[in-house]
Amino acid sequence: MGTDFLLKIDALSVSFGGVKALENYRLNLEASRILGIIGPNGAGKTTLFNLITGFIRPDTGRVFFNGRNITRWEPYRIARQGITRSFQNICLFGRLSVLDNVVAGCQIRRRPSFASTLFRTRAFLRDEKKLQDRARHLLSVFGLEQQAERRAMNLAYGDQRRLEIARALAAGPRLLMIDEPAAGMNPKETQDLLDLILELKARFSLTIILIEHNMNLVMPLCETVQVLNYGRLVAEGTPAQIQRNPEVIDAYLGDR
Amino acid sequence: MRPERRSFYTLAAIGLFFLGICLLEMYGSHYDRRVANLMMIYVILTVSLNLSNGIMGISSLGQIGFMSIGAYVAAVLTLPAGLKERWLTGLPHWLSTIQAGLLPAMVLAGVLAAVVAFLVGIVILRLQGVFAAVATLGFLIIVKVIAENWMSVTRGGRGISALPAYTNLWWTGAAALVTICVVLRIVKSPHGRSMLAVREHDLAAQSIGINAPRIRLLAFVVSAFFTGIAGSLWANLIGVVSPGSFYLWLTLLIIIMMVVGGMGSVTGSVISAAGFTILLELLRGFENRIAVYGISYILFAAVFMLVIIFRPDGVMGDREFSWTLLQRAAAFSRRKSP
Repeated sequence: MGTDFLLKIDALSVSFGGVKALENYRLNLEASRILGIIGPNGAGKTTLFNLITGFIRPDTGRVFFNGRNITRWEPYRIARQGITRSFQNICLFGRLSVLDNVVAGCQIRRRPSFASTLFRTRAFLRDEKKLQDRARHLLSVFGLEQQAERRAMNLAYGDQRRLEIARALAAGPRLLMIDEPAAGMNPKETQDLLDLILELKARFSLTIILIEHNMNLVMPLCETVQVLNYGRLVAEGTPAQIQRNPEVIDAYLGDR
Repeated sequence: MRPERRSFYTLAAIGLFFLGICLLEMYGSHYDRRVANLMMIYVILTVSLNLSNGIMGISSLGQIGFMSIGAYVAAVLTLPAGLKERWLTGLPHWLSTIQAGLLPAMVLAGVLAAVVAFLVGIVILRLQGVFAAVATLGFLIIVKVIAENWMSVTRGGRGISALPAYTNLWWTGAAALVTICVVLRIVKSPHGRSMLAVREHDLAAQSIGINAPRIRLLAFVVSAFFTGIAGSLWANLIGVVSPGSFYLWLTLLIIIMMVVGGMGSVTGSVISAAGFTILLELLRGFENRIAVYGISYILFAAVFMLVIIFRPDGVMGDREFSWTLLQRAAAFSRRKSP
């Protein structure tokens, strides 16, 4: 089931104490696409991210990734399957170095046994070197290589946002989920971010789901856009279709 | 600095360390050796506490409970067989007729403490922050109450005395060195990086594939293992184990040593534990001379408070001592002095 799509979601619902945060959500996402999710605050966008990545368990519904039912899996197992994310409110490992933030992501694949950690085998040292090299390479893609030894919490805001994405990408996802990457960025930074996301998608053959309010990012990037409002999917289509959709205009601007 | 040079310095330091042990064992007074042994035991306790509390960020107050388990395991194993049959009537026959040496006692003490930590950890490590602190304190109390009341195995409040004085500096020194080495290797490995990541942000760590409950359990169990070993060394150094020895005073002492050394810094813990052991002995001597009893603890607390006021992150913060650091510090002081 769901073998044609990278991510397939059926009838996903969750409510918090009577409030329906997400209701009957569905999605068929092919590989190598960029999906944008927009909607007013409190529409359920981040809840959807939390459901897909396992941080919240749904009341009903199923999530298939790569043909495998990952509903109710632990977050770390979902990440190991190939879905990683950035967070809306930045959640870096503040006191660790920028490099270590990324290495922590890189080590998802080759984890040494406890014995080889204790005995520092040659294979252990070689793998450790590989991790560091890969992390430095990633940092250079993000233009953060000069900051590698600084503590993550001391980075500028925009750099922290990019480090979030770098860390998520370090874990080698097939599906990258980015939560409001352009929040607090100026038009120039937003344009740079747009170019960066396109470069990442091509270079790492990613499928991307993006939550974003900034239409200057959503419209040029996304092939498909979904609109959420009060936990319900109110529209889905190409950016051009969405911009003309009366329900979307209602959701954003209120009834006329 | 080149890596070969660094490992040369490290080996030289280890060599000097064992030379020091050798000299103390040959020429040191009974008192000198006792203080040095206690110092090594405190180093083990503080470094392993730092693994669970500083590096992993578990707010555990139950650490000394594992030391108690280790000490009682060693006591039960190393007590002469004749005394065992008289005092510890609850032991199975095969156990009451043997007397183990220090090495098997140490290993079993560590392993049993680790097994208990594993079982306790599965339950307690779901909790975080102050809840974990209260739950682990509960564990410490439970261990003490069991030790006080399981008369046929622990001899209750009277404790088990007349333990053979197996412990010497070779054992404590080697155990401390192994503890430091193992914890440092864990910290500088993917395991350690996962621990730090989970400490810094649990959810973010899980989002990149780190199994947070599992890595917490690993830190807790390894920490308990070495703490149990410290307990066994302590039992065969002091010669007596009783429930009250492993309680709030030691708990506070090692927490203070860890905080002053710097939470997250293994070398900081070593420096701090060694420093405080000497300080406590000096203060005790001072107290005896001026005959104002209790003053040593007041001064001890004052030193602790002063450090926390002027260096809130402890002496080392979360950094580690390295030869490069020493080199830089030396260069810095040369530049400053005329």
